[in-house]
Amino acid sequence: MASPATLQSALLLQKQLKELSKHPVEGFSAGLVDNENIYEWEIMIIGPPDTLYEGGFFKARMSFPKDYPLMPPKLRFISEMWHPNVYPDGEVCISILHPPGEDKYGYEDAGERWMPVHTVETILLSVISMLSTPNDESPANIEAAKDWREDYPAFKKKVQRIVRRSADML
Amino acid sequence: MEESQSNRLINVKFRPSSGEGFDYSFDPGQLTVRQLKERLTSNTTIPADSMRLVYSGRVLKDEDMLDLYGVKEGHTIHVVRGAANRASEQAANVPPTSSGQRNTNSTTQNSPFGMNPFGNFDQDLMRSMMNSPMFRHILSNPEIVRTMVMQNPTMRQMIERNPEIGHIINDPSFIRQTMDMARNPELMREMMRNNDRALANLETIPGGFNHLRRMYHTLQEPLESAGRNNDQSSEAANRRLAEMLNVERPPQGRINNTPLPNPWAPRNNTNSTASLSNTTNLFGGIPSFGLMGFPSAQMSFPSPSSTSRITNSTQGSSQSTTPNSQTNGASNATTPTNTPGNAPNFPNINLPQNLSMSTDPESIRRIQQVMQRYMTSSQFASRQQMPQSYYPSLFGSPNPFFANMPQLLGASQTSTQPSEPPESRFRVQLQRLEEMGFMDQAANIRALLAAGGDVNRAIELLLGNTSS
Repeated sequence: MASPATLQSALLLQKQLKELSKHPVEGFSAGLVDNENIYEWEIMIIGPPDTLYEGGFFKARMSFPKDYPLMPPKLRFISEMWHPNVYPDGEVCISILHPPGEDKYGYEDAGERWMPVHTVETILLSVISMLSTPNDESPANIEAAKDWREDYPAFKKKVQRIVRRSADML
Repeated sequence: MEESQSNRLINVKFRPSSGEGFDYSFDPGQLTVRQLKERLTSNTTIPADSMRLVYSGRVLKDEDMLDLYGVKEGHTIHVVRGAANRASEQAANVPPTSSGQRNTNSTTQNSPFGMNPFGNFDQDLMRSMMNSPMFRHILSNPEIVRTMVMQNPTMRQMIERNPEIGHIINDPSFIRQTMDMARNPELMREMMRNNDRALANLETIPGGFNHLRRMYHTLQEPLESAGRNNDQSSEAANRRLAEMLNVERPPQGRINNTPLPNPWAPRNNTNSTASLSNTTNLFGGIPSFGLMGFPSAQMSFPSPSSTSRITNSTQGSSQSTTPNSQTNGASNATTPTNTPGNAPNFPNINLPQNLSMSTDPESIRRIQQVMQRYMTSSQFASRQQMPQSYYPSLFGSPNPFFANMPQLLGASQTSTQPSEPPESRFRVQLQRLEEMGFMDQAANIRALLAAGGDVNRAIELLLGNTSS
């Protein structure tokens, strides 16, 4: 805990958390899962208006590595999610969360991937934009991507179901 | 913690998802979430039942006391409208209408039909609209539909000019079928597929291609030109280009075997040289000629899928095959290359000598030299305020610009001195120079004048000056 790297990431996250609770950003709310652990965040993503996800409240966990901000956090939906860019287990697949360096996906620019300048806020804004415009070129959930592309009514139906459930869970 | 916080008011900001945020003071030790919601109803339009308070990644539960969540002075709580008990209706109805409305609004702007069901529409919205009894009633009456269509001036104009299209509108069975299609996306998809196949088959029949072309001229072209708002600019640009290149229209209906004109040949047409002396015009025209990836040619096909939807729907009733995007592809086949759309008018865009020239680095270099010398002498390029970055793209594409070089050079004699002061002419370049640390504006202007607006040359000159 006392190593300089840990300290830096903890301080940075502490600062971001404070900033977000004072000046939150439209569309999500963020807090800690456990007040003792700054590396595990609890996120509530409010379904962006004018999208299929409107009316939904999606819980997600953001786990930061100790070497944040050099490496990206992981973001995983706890609530059920149906989206081309969210793996069936809930993990969010957006390019800015992919670690820098070697490009294991083979199609992204370094500029699209994780950069230390990203914050919880920029990540969540990307997620919100992902909700409104899925990227079906690199789907994480093949089924959802297929629906989105080929059978939009079915896709919509499934999304509406999870939106309803997420609202009922409140 | 509970003890220390009780009997103490804290001021918390509330942030609704729509509308103004507000502050509210309460004592978190004394209040449940539900009580807080009831107090907040005066500040928002959201009833307590469907109000959701989100704080620190959590939705606050009605029965909990507020201090459980550790809300602190100055923090912010999101106020959102939850689904309440009417979850299903809200989730099902609200989002599509609000997003769909915007979609349709934007399509009406540029679609030939006043309310075009075939633009970038939200299929679900369309379907639910089509299924509403009122709409059904309206649409079951072909007369009303006809009046609606005719009320759109662009449509009316198009129909007046093209009686063939008028027939379609007047055909009640067509309208009915179109509406059926709009109501049922499956049917629409099926129709479009059939149509595509029919067209593909048609092309393989002897004479089928000509038929396609005829259909293209009678249907797709008027539809598109109507949708284009009589925008003549691309046609005018094509004409100007053709004129500059010494090209005549290729003969219609047979293979174009006339030799390609020699762009380097001296002009006998004094009119066009006169117009060429106006280099601004020439240069200003170039982007609109669509040399960089033929943007203007593509502009006339703003959305192939939407036009094909329109024409496909036409096909629905008359069962005559109608041109769609396939036809566009087919008409391209007449030209040696795959330039989209209106390329047949000037097939020589890809003049062989142009092609070889643009790919041969030696000749590119030579042309660059010529151009640089030319720019230094007449300073014309700076007048265009053309970003230097244009050059690579100009050189990267097979480009009539090269073909115009002799005329450009010829025109330099007639070009007059620019009237604009150099400060504003070279605004962009000056700015760049300043960014690079050349702070003496007078010297910069002098260098730019000498370099004909070329920043790199100007830098060379500036550096040469300081060193010598």
